[in-house]
Amino acid sequence: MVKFIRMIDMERCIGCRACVAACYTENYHTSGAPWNAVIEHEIGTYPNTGLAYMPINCMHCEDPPCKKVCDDMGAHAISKNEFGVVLIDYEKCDGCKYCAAVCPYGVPQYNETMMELYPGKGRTPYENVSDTDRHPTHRKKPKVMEKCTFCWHKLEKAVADGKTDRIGRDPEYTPSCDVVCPVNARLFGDIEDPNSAVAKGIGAKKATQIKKEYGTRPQVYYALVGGDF
Amino acid sequence: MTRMLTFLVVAAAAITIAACDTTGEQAMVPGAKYSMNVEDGRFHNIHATGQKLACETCHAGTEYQPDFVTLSKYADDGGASPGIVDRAACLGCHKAGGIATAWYGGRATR
Ligand code: HEC
Ligand code: HEC
Repeated sequence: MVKFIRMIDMERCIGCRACVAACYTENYHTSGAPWNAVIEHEIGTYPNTGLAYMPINCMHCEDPPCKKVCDDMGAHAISKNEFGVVLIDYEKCDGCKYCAAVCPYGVPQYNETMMELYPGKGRTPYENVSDTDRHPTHRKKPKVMEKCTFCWHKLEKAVADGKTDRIGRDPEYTPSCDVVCPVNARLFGDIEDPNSAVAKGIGAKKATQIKKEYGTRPQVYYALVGGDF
Repeated sequence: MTRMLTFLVVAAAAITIAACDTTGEQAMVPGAKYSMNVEDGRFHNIHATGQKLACETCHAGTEYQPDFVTLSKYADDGGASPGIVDRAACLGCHKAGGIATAWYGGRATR
């Protein structure tokens, strides 16, 4: 069974935010509802100080609190598919924000309004692409929750093409944030394949999940820098 | 009249919460109106009114802990909420074995 995992190496990350830009472009970013962000931590004590960068996106938890709460209220807008990807269905979401309330990572984002990318300058051709020509995960609408999908539209294509072994290798089948990282601080692939770069990376770097006390079992691992997460 | 209504609302909330304590996972009823609004939203009714939690229990600070990694750190709520919520405040009641639904750990997803 294929299970997708990401590893983020904070020792390598230089905080350039190329992953954030790639995500915005790939996933039809709507202002105020980021799917990817880089958080800076000041570390050390004077004069030995520094900055550590932590890129954050959805952890695609094995035991996602967001899905539990959404299921319990009967909306069933959040699903976790057989590859471990957690997705929000905009058609079923009623925007109650309970998923955001329970997520310990602050991931689900409420899309208040569909703002123009360049306010006051009209819509760009990119924004005018009709919903029917977009992947369901990009059919954004206001007053619902949205979040990172592990670039499901790309993974789905790999599955359909029978190319799951190329995930994490071919840009076409790999989440855009992981593709663009200039310092190889991001790895993505199948954890069940012991030869995958991500499986090896996690072992070599002793990467770990964050906020384990919540029992969510994230599918994103971090090689941590600068203290106790 | 208003007092009577308040009494009824509080009583209903008490009954709901009492029922939750025994049934655990049955706490949420599909179809109810779910909202994070402070004035009339179910979430704050249950916690601030029902559980008598002070706003500061959850809205602890104006700054994040250095280890508090979250996207909403950048979300500007325009000062709408009385302070940032560290989900550590939820763990005691909402983990497996707590008094309320275990959102965190312990329960397989359905
Ligand atoms: C059980 C913990 C808890 C208590 C007690 C609590 N809150 Fe909240 N409150 C939350 C959470 C969680 C959020 C959502 C924050 C987020 O999404 O980052 C929130 C959001 C809010 C918001 C923003 C609402 C919106 O529509 O998004 C306001 C305003 C607010 N709280 C006010 C209060 C006030 C006033 C009190 C005291 C009467 C209070 N809260 C008590 C947990 C709590
Ligand atoms: C003092 C204990 C306590 C704390 C602390 C607490 N809760 Fe609750 N919570 C409850 C109880 C009791 C209920 C009602 C029974 C149930 O739904 O399990 C409840 C219900 C809920 C519900 C369902 C609400 C509904 O509309 O039915 C959510 C979601 C929730 N809590 C999230 C949180 C979050 C997020 C936090 C931390 C910010 C938190 N709780 C902190 C006791 C608590």
